[in-house]
This record gives sequence, C-alpha cells and structure tokens, in this order.
Amino acid sequence: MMRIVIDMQGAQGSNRQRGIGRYSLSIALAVARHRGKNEIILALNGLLPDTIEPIRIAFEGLLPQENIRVWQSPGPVCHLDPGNDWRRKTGELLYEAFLASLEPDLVLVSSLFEGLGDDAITSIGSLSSAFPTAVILYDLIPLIHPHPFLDNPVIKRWYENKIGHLRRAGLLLAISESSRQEAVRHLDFPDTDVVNISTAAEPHFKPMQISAEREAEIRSRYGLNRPFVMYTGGIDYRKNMEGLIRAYALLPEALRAAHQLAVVCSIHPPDRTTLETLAAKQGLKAGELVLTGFVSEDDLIALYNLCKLFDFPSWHEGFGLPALEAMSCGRAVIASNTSSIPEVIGRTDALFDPRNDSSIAAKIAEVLSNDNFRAALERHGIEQARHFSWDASGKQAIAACEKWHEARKPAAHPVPARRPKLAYISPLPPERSGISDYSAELLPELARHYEIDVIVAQDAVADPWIKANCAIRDVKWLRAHSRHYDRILYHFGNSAFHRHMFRLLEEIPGIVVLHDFFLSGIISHLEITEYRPYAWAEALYQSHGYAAMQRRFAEADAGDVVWHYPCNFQVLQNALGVTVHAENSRRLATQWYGKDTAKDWAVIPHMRVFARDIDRAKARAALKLDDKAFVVCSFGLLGPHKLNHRLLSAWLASSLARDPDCVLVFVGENNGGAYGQQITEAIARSGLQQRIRITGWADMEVFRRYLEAADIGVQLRTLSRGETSGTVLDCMNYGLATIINANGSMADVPDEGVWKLPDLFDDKQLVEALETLRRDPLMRRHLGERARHIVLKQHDPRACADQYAAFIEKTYDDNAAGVPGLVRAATEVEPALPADSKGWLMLAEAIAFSIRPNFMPRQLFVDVSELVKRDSKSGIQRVVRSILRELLLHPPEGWRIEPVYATTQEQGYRYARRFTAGFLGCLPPKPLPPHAMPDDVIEFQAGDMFLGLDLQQHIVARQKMFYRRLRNHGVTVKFVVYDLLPALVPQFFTAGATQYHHGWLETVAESDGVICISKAVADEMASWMRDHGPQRLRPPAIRWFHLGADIKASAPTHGLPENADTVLEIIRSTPSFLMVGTLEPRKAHAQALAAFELLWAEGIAANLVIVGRRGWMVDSLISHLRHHPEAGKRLFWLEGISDECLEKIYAASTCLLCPSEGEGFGLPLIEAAQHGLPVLARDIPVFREVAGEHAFYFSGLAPQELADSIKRWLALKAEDKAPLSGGMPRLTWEQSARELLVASKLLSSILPSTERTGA
Amino acid sequence: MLVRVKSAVRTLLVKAMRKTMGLPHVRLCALYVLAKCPPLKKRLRLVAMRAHLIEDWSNTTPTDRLPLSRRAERIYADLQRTLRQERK
Repeated sequence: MMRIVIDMQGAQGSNRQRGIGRYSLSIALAVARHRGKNEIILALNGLLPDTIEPIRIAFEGLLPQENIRVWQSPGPVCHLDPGNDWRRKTGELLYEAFLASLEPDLVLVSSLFEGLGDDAITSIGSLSSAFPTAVILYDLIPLIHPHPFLDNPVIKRWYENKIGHLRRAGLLLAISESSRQEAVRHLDFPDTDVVNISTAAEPHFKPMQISAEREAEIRSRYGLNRPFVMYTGGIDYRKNMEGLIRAYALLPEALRAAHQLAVVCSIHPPDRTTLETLAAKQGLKAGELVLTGFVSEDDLIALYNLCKLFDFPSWHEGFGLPALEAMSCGRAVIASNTSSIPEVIGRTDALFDPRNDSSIAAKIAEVLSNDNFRAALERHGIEQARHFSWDASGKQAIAACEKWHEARKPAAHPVPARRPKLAYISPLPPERSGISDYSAELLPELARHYEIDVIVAQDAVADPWIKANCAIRDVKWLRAHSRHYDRILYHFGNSAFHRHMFRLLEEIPGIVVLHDFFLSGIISHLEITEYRPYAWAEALYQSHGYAAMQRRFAEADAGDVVWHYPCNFQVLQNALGVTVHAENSRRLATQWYGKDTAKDWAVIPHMRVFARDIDRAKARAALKLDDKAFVVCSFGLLGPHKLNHRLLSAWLASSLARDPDCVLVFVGENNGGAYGQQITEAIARSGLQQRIRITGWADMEVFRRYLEAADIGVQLRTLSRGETSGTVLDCMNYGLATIINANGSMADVPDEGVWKLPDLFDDKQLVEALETLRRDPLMRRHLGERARHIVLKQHDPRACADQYAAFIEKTYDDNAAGVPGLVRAATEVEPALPADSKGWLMLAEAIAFSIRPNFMPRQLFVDVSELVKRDSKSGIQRVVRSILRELLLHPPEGWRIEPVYATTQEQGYRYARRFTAGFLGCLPPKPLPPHAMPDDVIEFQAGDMFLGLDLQQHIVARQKMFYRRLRNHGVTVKFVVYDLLPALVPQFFTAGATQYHHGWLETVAESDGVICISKAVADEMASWMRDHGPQRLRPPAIRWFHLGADIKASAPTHGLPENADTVLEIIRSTPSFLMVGTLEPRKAHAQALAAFELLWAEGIAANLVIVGRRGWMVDSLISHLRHHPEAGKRLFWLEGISDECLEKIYAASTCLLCPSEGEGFGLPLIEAAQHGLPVLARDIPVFREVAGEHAFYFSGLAPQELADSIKRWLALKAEDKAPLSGGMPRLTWEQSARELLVASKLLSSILPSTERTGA
Repeated sequence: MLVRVKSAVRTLLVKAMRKTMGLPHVRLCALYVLAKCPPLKKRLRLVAMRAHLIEDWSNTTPTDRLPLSRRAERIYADLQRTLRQERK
C-alpha cells in the first residue's frame, strides 16, 4: 500500500481550461477510482482559491474531503514578474516542505510546466529529496523545437528551469508512446522510468443525432452552409494551419465549391488576419474558409458530429486529443504521420506528410470523394477510440507507480565528514537527579557520534569526563548560537531540574528524551511556586482541553488532578522527535492523544553498565549478612506506590518468615510520612526486627553491595505515571531472581528475565513466588542468568548510544524537509530579503498554515461571538450557554472544543480562552497574568469543524470570506439556525434587522450544513433555500435537533429582585398566566393584554405575568404596560430577571401562555413542562412539534378569541380536564448537545442514555 | 432590494473578470501591464478586496488584517533568529 499525493495544480493554473487542465483532473479522478488499497491525497494551491471548490465537488464521494489538502505560499509568484523571484523561490521550498509533511510514498505532479503567468508553484528537489516524485509528461516540444517556442528569453528561462526540475523526477508518466520516447531520447531517462499511460477522450464525445433545428441553428451561427472539413486544437506554429489552408487550396475547384474548411477554436485577431490573408492569396473564395472563433463544449461536440471529415495536420503533438475526440464521435479522421499522432489514428492509410501540401490535399480529396473509404474510416474511428479510456489510463498510472515504488531502493545516507555538533540539554552531576546520572553515563558513548556541548541551568558540572570533553554552555548562550548546532537533544523529566526547558523547546526545537511520560508534577510546581503563574491550568487546557482545566479548579484535592493528567502535550508537539524508555509510554501517548501520536517514537531502553566482578561473599561480609542467609531485597525509596507493605505482608505470610535464615531488606530511605510509620510499626508487631531491615538512604557503595549480596529482588509498583524503573534493571544486572508486577513500564520487561506477577496481583501469588524461588536455587540461577543476558544485549550503554545516534540522524533527516529545514533554507534564498521585510511575516504565516504541527486533535470551533461580548440573557443566549457548557465538559471523543469569536473589525476568528476560563469558573483569585490564556488567532486544519452557535448576524455577514477560506481548506462550516422569522414575517421586524438577517442567511446558505432547532425551522429553511438560496453542487445539508430545558445545566444566572416574595405570593394566590420571551410584535403580547382586559372586565380573576426584556417595535405596548391600571395588581412585567427568579415564577404560575405567531422552538413550553405547568399555546407547527397533545391550542388574532380560549381552558381546568404538560417529551441540555453533535455528524448516533424524558 | 442589486452586480463583475482572465493571452497582457505599474496593481487589489471580490489573504501582510497565530509567531521568531545568526 502506498500513499500517493497528487499535486493538482495542472487543474488549477492557467491551463485548467485547456487540455492539460482536463487531463490533470481526469487522470486524478481515474487514479482515485482505481486506487485499490493505496491512499490518495490531493494537494491544492491556496493561491488559486477559486479552483478549490470545483475540485472538491469533482471528488465528492470519491475521496474524503480531509484527503484534499491545501497549502499556501506568500504571493504573487508568477514567473513573468521578476519582482516575484524571492516569493517564488521560498514558495518552492514551502511547496516541497508541505508535500513532505504529508509523508507520501510518491508525489504525482499533474503538470510541472506551470507558473509562467499564474500563481502555480512546482518544483522537485529544491528543499529535499525525501520523497520520490512522478510527473505526468505531456510533451517536450519546446525542448526539441526551441524556435519559436523559446525565443522569448523570459519564457526560455522559465522553461529551462522547469526542465531542470523535471530531470530530478524519479518516474515519468507519458501520455503517449511518442512522448515516452522523447523523454528517453532527450532527457536521457532510463527506459524503465518512463511509462506510457496514454489518455482518453471524455465520454460525452460520442456519435449523436443532431436535430434538424439544432443543425440549422449551429450552421447559421458559424456560417457553415455546406458539408465541411473540420480542424480544432488551437492555433500555433506547430499546428500547421498554413499548410492546411495551402493544401485545401490545392483541391479541385468543384470539390472546394461543395465543401468548406472550418477552423474551430478561439483565434486572436492577428492570427485571424494572417490566415485570412493566406487563404485569399491561395485563391480560396469567400466562405470556403470559416474561422469560428471560440465555441462552447456543446457546440464543439455538435460540430464534430456534423463534419464530413476531420483533418489534423499538426507537425508535433504530445498526444493529439482532438483527433481522438473526432474519432469517438464517429467521424472520418486523417492526420499527420509524425510524433504521437499515428498511435492515436491507428491506420496508416489515414496519414499524410504534414510538411507536404500535396500529400495533405491528396488525402483530403480521397476521403471526400470516396464514400466507401470515408465510411471505413468512420467505422475504424469508433473501434480505435475504444482502446483509450480514463479507467485504463488510471489503472496504468497506479500500476506504474506501484511497480516503480517496489523496485526503488532507498538512497544510502552519506557518512558526514565530521561528527555533527550536538547541543545536549540535561541536568548533570552534581544535581541529584536520576536523569543527571543517566546523562553522565550516556555522554561518553554518545560522543563517539557527536561533538557535544552540554547546555545546563546549574552553577557547576562535577563530572570529570564531561568537563574534559564537552564545552559547558548556559541557556542564554544556546539562544544566541542555536544556528551553530546540527542537532539538539533535550532530556525531560518530571522534576524541577527541567523547568527551564519548556520555553527553550518552544524557541529551539529538538529531539526530546521523555524519561517520565507524566510532566504534571513539574508543571504544577511551576504554577504553585509562581515560577510561571497559571502554567498548570494552561497546560491542562493545552493538553487535555477545558474539562481538565475545570477539574483543576473544581476538585477539592488538586493532587488528584496532578495524578490524573500527564500535561505533556506541548512538549510532545514542539519536539522534532521523541524517544522513550519503554513501550508503556507509547501506549500512554496513544491512550491520551490518539493512535498515531507515537508512531514515530523510538523506544531506547534504559542503560546499565554490565556488572562484572560480582563478589557475593565479600559484600555479605561487609553488610554483616550470614553466608547461608536467604536475602530478599527491595530497592529504592519506600512509598505507597512501591507497595512495600504488600511485600512485607507477603513475606510475613510466607514460610520465609518462619525460617530463621531468611532476611528481608528494604534498601532505601523510609517514607517520611504516615506510610513509613505504618511500615515501621508492622515490622515491630511482627517481632522479626532482627531479620527485617530498612537501611535508610544508601550511597552507591552500599546499594551495590546489597545487589551483590541479595538472592531475590522484589520491585513492585502501582499507579505508575509512565516512569521507568531503574532498580529492576539493577536487580537484573546483578543476576538476581527478580519479582515484579506488570505495572506501567514494568509490563514491558521481557518475561524470560523476571518473575512477573499480574499488575493487580494478590498476596498468595507473591507468597508463591517467594517460596518457589526460595525452594529452587536452580530456577533462581537460570532467571538471574537470563536477566544478565538481557541487560548485556539490550541495555549496554554503547548499544543504547548507537540507537540514539540512529534515531537522531533519522529524525533530522526527516526534518530536513520540515519546518526547521525550511526555515534554514528560506533564509539562504537569493536574492536575500531584508530582515525587516513583511515578506518574512507572510512566509511565517504560510508555513504555519501549510504544515501541520506534529499532532493536533481535531478542533470544533464554537462561535460565541455575542456571548463573549455580553450576555443579553435572551433565549438564544441561554441555548448558547447551555450547549457550550455541555460541549466543554463532555467533549466528543477525539475532538477538542474551542469557543471562538469574531468582531466586525477583523477578518477571522480568535480563541475565546479568557472568556471560557471565566465561564467555567477557572480564574485564579489574582488577576490572570497578561501572558496567560491569550485570545490568539485560531489555527485550523483540514478535518476541523466550525459551528456557528451564537447569533451575531452582522459579524457572520462580515466574515463571509473567512468562512470560504475555512471551507476551501477543508474545515466544515455549519450554522445553528434558530428561526427564519425576519425573512418570513418581515412585518414583525425592523428594516435593518431584516436586512441583516438576509445577509446572514446568504452566508449560511454558502456553508456545509445547517442545523435547525426544530423540524419546523428545518422545513422553512429548506423552502427558503429552494426559493432564494444559491445554486450549489454541494448544497448544505439541513438537519435539526431539539433544545434542552434543565435550567440548572444551562450555566444559570442568579439573583432575586427586592419585591420577589410579594410578587410571588400574588402569583400563587390567583390563577396566573405566564408569558416568557422578549417583548416584540410577533410574541402577541398586545393581543394577550387586550384579552386579559376583556377577562378582567368580565370579573374573571386571573393574573397576567410577562417575563422578558423590551425588544423592538413595542413602544406603545411598553407605555401601556407601564401605565396600566392593573400594573402591579393583576398585571406584572418582570424585565431582565435571573434564571433563578424565573424558576420560582414557573413554580408559582398556573399556566404558560404562548400566543406567539412564530417561533423557532418554544423553549418556554419545555421549561413549563418541567415544572408541570399546563400550556395554552397558539396552534402553529412548531408548538405542535414540541408539545404535541400535551398543550391546549387556540387560533385567531383577535383579543376576544384568545379571551374565549382562556375561559375554555379555565373551565377545563376546573373539571381537571385541561391537558397536562408533564408528559411532554423533553431533553436535558446534555442530551440536546448530543443531538446537536449527531446532527453535525460529529457523533454517529445518539446514545441510549439520551432518550427523551416525558412521553 | 438594494442588497440583491448589489449582489447581482457583484456576480456579473466576477463572472466577467473570470471569463476574461481565463483567456491566457488577456491574462498575460493584464499581468504585463500590472507588472509595469505596481501602484495600479496595488490599487486594483485593494478595491477588489474591499468589495469582497477576491480573497486576498495571500497578498496582504498578516499584520494588515490580524496578528499572526501563535505558531506563526514562533516560526517568525525562528526565521529572524536564523537570519541574525546567518548574517552575523
């Protein structure tokens, strides 16, 4: 299986409307259709944005949209303008770096000869030869015939430059055998590296019946009033138009009088004049030569079908597609006997010598006068055309690529003349860190491969070898001289010795040796010690998203959060390569960040210098251990995660405790807390203090003596955080029979070298292991010998250093075409650009845009532009708050939720980090440091999704171009649509609002999907799209979901007005009808108020409670409400109350009144149902959809009609017959958010737990 | 109504421009003229961009519209550092 990246610029550049453009698209489609197990990725040039959507449409359903990748270079770059030279050259580097970042097995360039007059960029081997390249070869005509094609020096320079690139291609796919031969002959390509994949005519070129009307219309339009001889295929020197006209003039006059010669193609005025002058000079009469000019594709097919003879007199072709198209249409075709044309025609008696006018004329005359011959040619044409098809070409292209790829041998890497210079960044002795000792051991071996400078953030280095052999530099020096190093190597661990490395790695990327997978300890330390305030919260967000960050502030014990989250994402992302010491770290990476995260990581085992001269007797004597004693040792600092208590209790439960010869020694410092105390007490209780020891801190000498003296080593772990255990290796190195449990990286120790218990073992298993090994000295010996063999083979420092060198070299080799290599190459481009030029800014942006970071989870950008600015507490804002909170705290697997916002002042979106931190209650007591959680410009990539959740019509309309940019680059853009009311019922809205809404809808209609908040709105949207939406080949999918209603989960607002108790008491005391929603005309507050005035006039006791902010076009209503005689008695308008207050009012009311004439959903209905509040609603589709049979409906716009309905409802209620709302189906916000994700196609199905409550 | 008229005019203009610029010789002539007259080129691009006729991300510097993204900033810093060290 191969990954083939097809550069589609042939179908994007100025040739896209010509043969090369069509060929590029058709062959790519054919290759994609016949890809088999191969993966196809299309590479598109973002400098040609208008061409992207048509290509996406062409491949819709054939390739995932994510496989269409866009890169962008600073522009313009066209070759004609010498001012573009720097941009073009850096563009070539960027283009190749982009292709390399896709990790292709082969790049297929659809057309290399692009970019003369447009912004296409093609190159081979300018930056790197890391990937092989195949090129579609159309012809080498300018190379073979420099005159007149290369007479222009600018064009000659461009062409020669492209030929230089072409020579660096590995494989050429020629469109004909003739072109293939030209490559072998003129470029000196090996015969095996040039393959003819041929070409084909599009299937719509076929024989067809042209109706008499259509024929008459076409003939009239182009002045064709007789049978005609046709030519098409452009006008240039090699097309031999002059020869054709001269030959036509040689025909007998009668034959000419009965026919016309039609040249069917666009023609520039000077060429037209030349040809018409020539025709007149040759004696052609008016009307005998017809120059049609440009014809449409439909007309071209018709003209093929109408011509009597097709003549193709070109001297030189790469293929000769017009001849094949004419044959496909069933026409008699005659053509030149040169270059590729004979293989297209397939019949020698249809050929002529194009340089001999008489030969052309004779063949024309023969066909026109001999009906049988012409008929034979027509039959032959149909038959011959069948030999050419896109499917066949696609299969041949795939087969050629596969065959060539299999046969290709990877290039051998040259051995560098000198050792590369390496900056080694690690704590070193005398720092008391395991990693510093490790480095001291590794450096002498690594120095065989590199000239090493050590970079430290410590006052002095103690190791004599390092002092003698390495330059010792500080961090500042590295920052100033990073360019001097060929390689950079960082050692990261979870301790404060590494705190300076995080920023440094961001600035100067290098390879990371990750000794501990979890870096949460050091990161939290940076925050707690205020070395970097807010660093931990930010790292939690960067590594694990907002949910993890929220846990850091919500959890009572922050230690649990340190323990749970690794917080190492940014180190992994900034690293050029990562090496770890055990497979376990790779597993953890996959578990936390996805399956491909660790695919390129190296696993280099921990090192151990092979232990020699082990003197057991001497060690025992020194330690005062009896020679016949059976000594079980556990090495390392005591602690709960080392399970020392488990070993102690198992040892005490075993026969070893009863055997006076058996000794248990904990070699290390006891835990200083309660755990250590418990261990000490347990030993005391056992009464075996003489045989159970804790040595306390042991220096290397004592430590080694115990290793020499022991019979068994027991090293247990639980809750490993990805660190590797050096003590297990120590035990194995000294040939101890070692008992371990399969926790964390210890699971990766080879089974044959240790006694491996399950991760969650029970005491019996440990007792059995101890007793068996006590009983069986032979087993102990064999286990020890195998362990030593493993250490010798796999952990030898020399072998490990060799593995480091191999990995470092491979990584830097791979990165030669990555961002670091690209940066270096770009700064060397001539002519040099001044450092302060804006070109560098543009290049930096283009690099960041085109080349993905190491690994990046897919992002769901949630637009909260309005909420960021202000919480207007409208219904839509409540939806936004609720959905956003659910998405943030329960993100779909594999997705990162990122709230974003835009303004009208800028193009593009920013991350809403500061807002979201506040929204989730993640702000520290002190103000946020200025550098923390910056609202950066969003970084997006193909496969991400943008969800327009908030409603900010004018911002959305302003960002129209940005959405196009997102879509062009493979980001799916979808919008939540709450309603179309301003478009459907404009009388209820101000003119400005309607205009904004139209602008917004037009933008939404260009998106990939629309998710409506009800089926009713979805139906209206579909109808609007049919009537007003743009005609699109990829129309937006229209789906719907329902809203949730649990106010508690909607990030509710709090607070009660001063008179709340009084008002609530009045509401409870009398039947109260509650209206919830902004005061605006469509909500029919005026009708409701008038209806209640009628009821009050009749003496009916009822309250009208209106909750909602003042909207628009309601001045008279507001005035009426404020000055109403019943205001504060039976009429209440509560403006801008909190969610908490609204909850209480729902609970106190008797009925929810919804007379609104149009709604997107009707959230109050659901909220009322939650409180068991009956519903009286207008009979409109959306209320029927939401409430079904669980509401009482009314119709009519007159106050009396509503008053009557209220009376009917009161009567029904009195009889207990009013419909109850409790059974109304409803969702929680969690369920609603999940429905939204399903509608967005982010989740494949609704989980069973999201079934609706209620009905 | 005004929006629709504007939209129709814009569509017409874009179509006309695409049609003419799709013809290779016209395009080459236009490019030649523009190459000879940079102020005209700049002015045309600006007008087209303001009218939302072209997506002009490639031809305006990032700081003219939005600051660089965090990653682009780092790459820019890396470019500048390399340049400084290269040209020392």
